[in-house]
Amino acid sequence: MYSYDTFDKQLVDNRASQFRSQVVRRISGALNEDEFRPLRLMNGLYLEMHAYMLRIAIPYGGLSAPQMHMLGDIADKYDRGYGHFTTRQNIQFNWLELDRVPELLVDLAKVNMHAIQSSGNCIRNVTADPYAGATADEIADPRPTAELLRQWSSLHPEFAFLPRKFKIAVTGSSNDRAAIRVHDIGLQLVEDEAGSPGYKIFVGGGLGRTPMVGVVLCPFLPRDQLLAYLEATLRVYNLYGRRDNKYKARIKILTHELGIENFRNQVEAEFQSIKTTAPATGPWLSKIEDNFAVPPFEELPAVCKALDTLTTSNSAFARWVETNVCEHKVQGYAIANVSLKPIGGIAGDATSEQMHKLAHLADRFSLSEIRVTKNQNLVLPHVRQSDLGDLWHALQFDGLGEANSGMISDVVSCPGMDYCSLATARSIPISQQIARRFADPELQQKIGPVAIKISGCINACGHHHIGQIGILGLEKNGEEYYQIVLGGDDGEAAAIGKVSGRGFSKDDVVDAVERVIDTFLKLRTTGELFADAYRRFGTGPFKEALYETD
Amino acid sequence: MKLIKNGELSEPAWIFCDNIDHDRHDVGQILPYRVFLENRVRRTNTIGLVGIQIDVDTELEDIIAYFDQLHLIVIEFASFVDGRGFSIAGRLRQSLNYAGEIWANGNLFADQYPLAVQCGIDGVVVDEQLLQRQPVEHWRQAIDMHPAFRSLM
Amino acid sequence: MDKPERLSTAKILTANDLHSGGVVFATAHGDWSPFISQALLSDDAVTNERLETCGQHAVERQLVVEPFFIDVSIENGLPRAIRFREQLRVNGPSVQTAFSKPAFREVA
Repeated sequence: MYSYDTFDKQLVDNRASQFRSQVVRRISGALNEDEFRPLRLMNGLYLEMHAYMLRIAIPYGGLSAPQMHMLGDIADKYDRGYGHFTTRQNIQFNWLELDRVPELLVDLAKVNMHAIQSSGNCIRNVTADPYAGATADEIADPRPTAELLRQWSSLHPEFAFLPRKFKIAVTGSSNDRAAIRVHDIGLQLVEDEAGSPGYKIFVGGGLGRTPMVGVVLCPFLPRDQLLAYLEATLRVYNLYGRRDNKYKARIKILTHELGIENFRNQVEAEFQSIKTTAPATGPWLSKIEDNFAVPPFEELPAVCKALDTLTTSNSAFARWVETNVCEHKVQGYAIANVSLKPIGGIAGDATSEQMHKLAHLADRFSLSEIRVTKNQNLVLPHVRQSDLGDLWHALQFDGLGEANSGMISDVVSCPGMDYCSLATARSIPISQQIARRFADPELQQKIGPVAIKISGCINACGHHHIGQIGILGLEKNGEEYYQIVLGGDDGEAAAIGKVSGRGFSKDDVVDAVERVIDTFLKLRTTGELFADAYRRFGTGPFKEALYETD
Repeated sequence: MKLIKNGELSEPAWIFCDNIDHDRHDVGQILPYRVFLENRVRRTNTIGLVGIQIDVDTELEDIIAYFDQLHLIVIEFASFVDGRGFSIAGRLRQSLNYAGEIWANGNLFADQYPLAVQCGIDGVVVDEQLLQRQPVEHWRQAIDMHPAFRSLM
Repeated sequence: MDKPERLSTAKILTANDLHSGGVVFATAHGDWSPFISQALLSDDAVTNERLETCGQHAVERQLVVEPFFIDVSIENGLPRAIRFREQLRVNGPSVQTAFSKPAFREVA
């Protein structure tokens, strides 16, 4: 993990003091709510339906064990004993009081954590591949780049009042586990023919009211030019992004309205005029790379007999290994996915007790590292294969051992109308019902991996547009009703799903999903994935099944 | 008018004008940039200190030629949540090397002062009403308490 | 104004408490209560205006944030939010009844 230096330490301490001063001045009336609102949002603090909600930044999804312990402490000290891991790799606490948030930030600062720019019209948490530094399929670790962008963007004075929020994601692998193509800026680490490092840059992807897949802004940008190029891009966006309509203010609208060539030319022109004065990427990035310690991997044998034995003798464990465990780049190690989707539970939620347990498990089994995924699950990235059995037993005990990573019951769900003042319908109950309907482990195995994502409103925080089956909760005549979207994809074949037709009531939507799955099971060849079957057959048979009674 | 600059509150010897007053030499005059350009074109007599007001629609290329004659550029912010003025200041300083004074005008409040300064803005115009709620001490405190920005290190 | 028992629907003014962020309702005494049962019911323009002024003053005195009206139905003499989203706001999340809120209190 990255080792924070004294500058970072001072920054979070000072930030906590600054926010306290802002709260004091809000309460005295020196700051009115219109002035305070952007300030509190730039510290991740929302005023939600029930109370203040704080979104704590988890930079590119990486947590150390001490940090996870602190999150557990915070859940108990300031909130109601639990937190919610989000689709942008952050964590949210829902029941906070304004007066106590300054104290909470001081506690966070003790473990070098903060809520800087996790909301507001500024550059948000830079997200990255949760398998970074552990996977064999990356050409380079994207985390130093993500850390560079975090340092560059934090408190950037020019970009604190953008037309709208700005989200960046980074991947080091062509297997895109960071959904870079649906971000305002998506970066893929690449090499040119000579093997020199650089970035393929996507721009203008995004979800919400006008979902779009990003387009290539720059097919290869030499590594050393990254900050200058992004400064130029952000400056063009800040100056020319629309400000007349909140729903047309993202960079995707600007790139769409100008056309990518025109937009690129403007960025290029700005880049040329600032490239000698913009911050130099090279030395800064090298320094960061030096501060990413290589984990103390042991030399382990290629084959782990203990793992093989247990897999053969314990079918439940074998199932968990099949769904939740992935290959590691270092021989003898494995990447373990920890599901926060227990059947009937609340997607992405963890109790303080679970957080402490996870921190202990990370210390014991994962070189003290934990990752958060955009699918509201966690990862223990560096587990010795010989430890997988013990890990699984421990996870089972703590309600964290569901063998459903990427499976049908691994439903991504935003908090929805139970928590969020923007929502038009509840999403959590639907996700629970779906998980229960398909809970049977053998049925899940039969269906295979399928990505169901639910959003409680058009803002799409549940990423329903890029679900293979997406569900959008709306309101009609005072009743909740749900649109089904099919054919989305959140990876390198990114695609925005298409609305299947009229929506379903909350009592009918789970039956509707079941009809889609039944159709898939009838049409597929043995072992064929849902995504592939959908591509092969198109939407026709699924639409027919959805509306067969019409 | 009142101005916050270098952490102090002052009443600078400048006024906003719609047109040049050739007889006034006691104060600097801030003209709408279009008026300035028209007068430059007509080569009227120079007067005392001259400044211009620009906004988000101003084409900076049109005023580059006059940089060394302009003592002051006032950037009109459409509102305090409209951050275009920060990028305009950024362009003036970084891309175009403008070395004169820059002020921000547009209801910016105390906590935005450090951002403005870091973007190359020298002063923030404030009105009486705002100063009632946010006296100069708040503006100084905002600077003192603002965590450092790494790119400037 | 009709006695509460004779009304079938009314408007009430709600907001979030600045300090706690909790949901509060404007009462007949001009203060704010977390209990919907204590909300001042309005079915005329004069009371609406009175409530609006109360809201403005509370904002100016840094007590509450963003007051707004909601429609309620009166059942057994007690107000109940009509829109489902407002019910969630009053009662708490439907999925975690451990966090349900004190929506009602017996009126003394």
